[in-house]
Amino acid sequence: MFGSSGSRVLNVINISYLQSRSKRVWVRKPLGSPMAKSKIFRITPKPVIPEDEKAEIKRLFDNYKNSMKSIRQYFFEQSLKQAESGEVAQMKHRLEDQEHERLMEENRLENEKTAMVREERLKIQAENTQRNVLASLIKKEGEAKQHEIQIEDFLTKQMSTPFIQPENIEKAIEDALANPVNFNFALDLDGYVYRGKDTSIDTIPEEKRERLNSN
Amino acid sequence: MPFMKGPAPIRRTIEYLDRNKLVLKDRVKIFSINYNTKGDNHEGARQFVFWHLPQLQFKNPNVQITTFKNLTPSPFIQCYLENGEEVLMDVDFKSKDEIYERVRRIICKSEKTLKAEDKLDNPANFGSKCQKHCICEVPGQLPCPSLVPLPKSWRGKYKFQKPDEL
Repeated sequence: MFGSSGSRVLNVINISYLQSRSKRVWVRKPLGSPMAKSKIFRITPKPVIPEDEKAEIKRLFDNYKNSMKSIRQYFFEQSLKQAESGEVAQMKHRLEDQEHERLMEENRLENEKTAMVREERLKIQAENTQRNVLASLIKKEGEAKQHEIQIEDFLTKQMSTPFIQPENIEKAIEDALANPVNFNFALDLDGYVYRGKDTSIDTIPEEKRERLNSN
Repeated sequence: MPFMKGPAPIRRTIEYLDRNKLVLKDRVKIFSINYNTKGDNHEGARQFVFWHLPQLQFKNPNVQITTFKNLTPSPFIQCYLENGEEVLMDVDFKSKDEIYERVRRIICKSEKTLKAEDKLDNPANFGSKCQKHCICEVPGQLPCPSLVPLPKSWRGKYKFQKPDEL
C-alpha cells in the first residue's frame, strides 16, 4: 500500500550503500499517507506539571546549560591558545608581523608623497585666490570712483535748476499770484491750439493762431 | 519584474557584494573614512564609499565601518587595530581605484591567505560550506556510523567504561 520496493532497502539518506537481507524494517510512515482511522480523533493528553516544579526544572536546566556552555567556551579558548603557542604558529605570527611592518612603512611613504602634492596644490590655490581678490578689489575701487563722478554730475545739474530759497519765497508767492498759469487748451483738426478756458474762437484773428509744434 | 529602486542598485545585489577581494585582516576592528560632500579632492573618497563600502561591510560583518562627513578639509581613512595601533591613509585627490588598490594592499588579506583559508576549494575540508559534508561520503572511507555501527572496541563509550559503573 505504501509502495515499498521489492529489494527491501533501508529508508535512510544514503540509500544506495546498504541492503538489509532481514525482514522489512518499518522506519517511518511515508510522508504523503493519510492519518490512520484509529488515530484521527485522538487528542493526546498534555502532561500537566505544577508551576513551581516547572520553575525548579527550568532553574536546574538553566544552571546546567550555563555551566556547560561556559566550560565549552573555555575549552575552545584554551585550544585556540594551544594552537597559537606551537612553533609553526609562532613563526607564522612573526612573518605576519614583519609583513605588517613593511606595509605600514609603505603606507607612511605614500602618505608623505600625498602630503607634498597637497602642499603644492594648496600653495598654487592660495596664490590664485590672492590674485583674484586683488583684481576684484581694484575693480571695485574703479567702480566706486565712477559712481562718485556720476553722483557729482547729477548734483550739479540739480543745483543749477532754479530752486526757491527761503529768501525769495515772498517774491515767488507774489509772482505766482500775479501770473496764474492756465493749463486748459483745445486743439483744432487743422492743428491749431487755442489756449485758455473761456477764449472763443472768433476773438482770435487768423494769423495769430498758434500752430501745435510736434516736438 | 520592475527595476530596483535607487541609484546604481547593482550595489545591492549579492553577486556584486560577493565578487571583491576586500577581506580585512583579522587584527582590524574599526574602519573609518572621513570625507566631504563637496570638493574635488574628495571625489575619489566619495566614489569609493558609494561603490565599495557595501562590499567591504559584506565581506567583514564583524568590523565596525563608519563614515564622517564634512569634518576635515582633506579626506583620509583610519583603521583601528586590535593592539591599539592606528593606520592612517591619506587619500587626498586619489581616484576611487587607487584607494581600492591601496586598501587592498595594506590592510586586506592577500590572495594567498584567502586561497589557503578558502573552505570550498580545498577538498580536505568537510562541512556545510565545503564540497563534501562528511568524510564518510568519500568512497574508500568508513561508511557512516549511522548506517553501519562501528565495532564496540572502537567506540569510546565502551572502551572507557568501567565494569563497576554499568
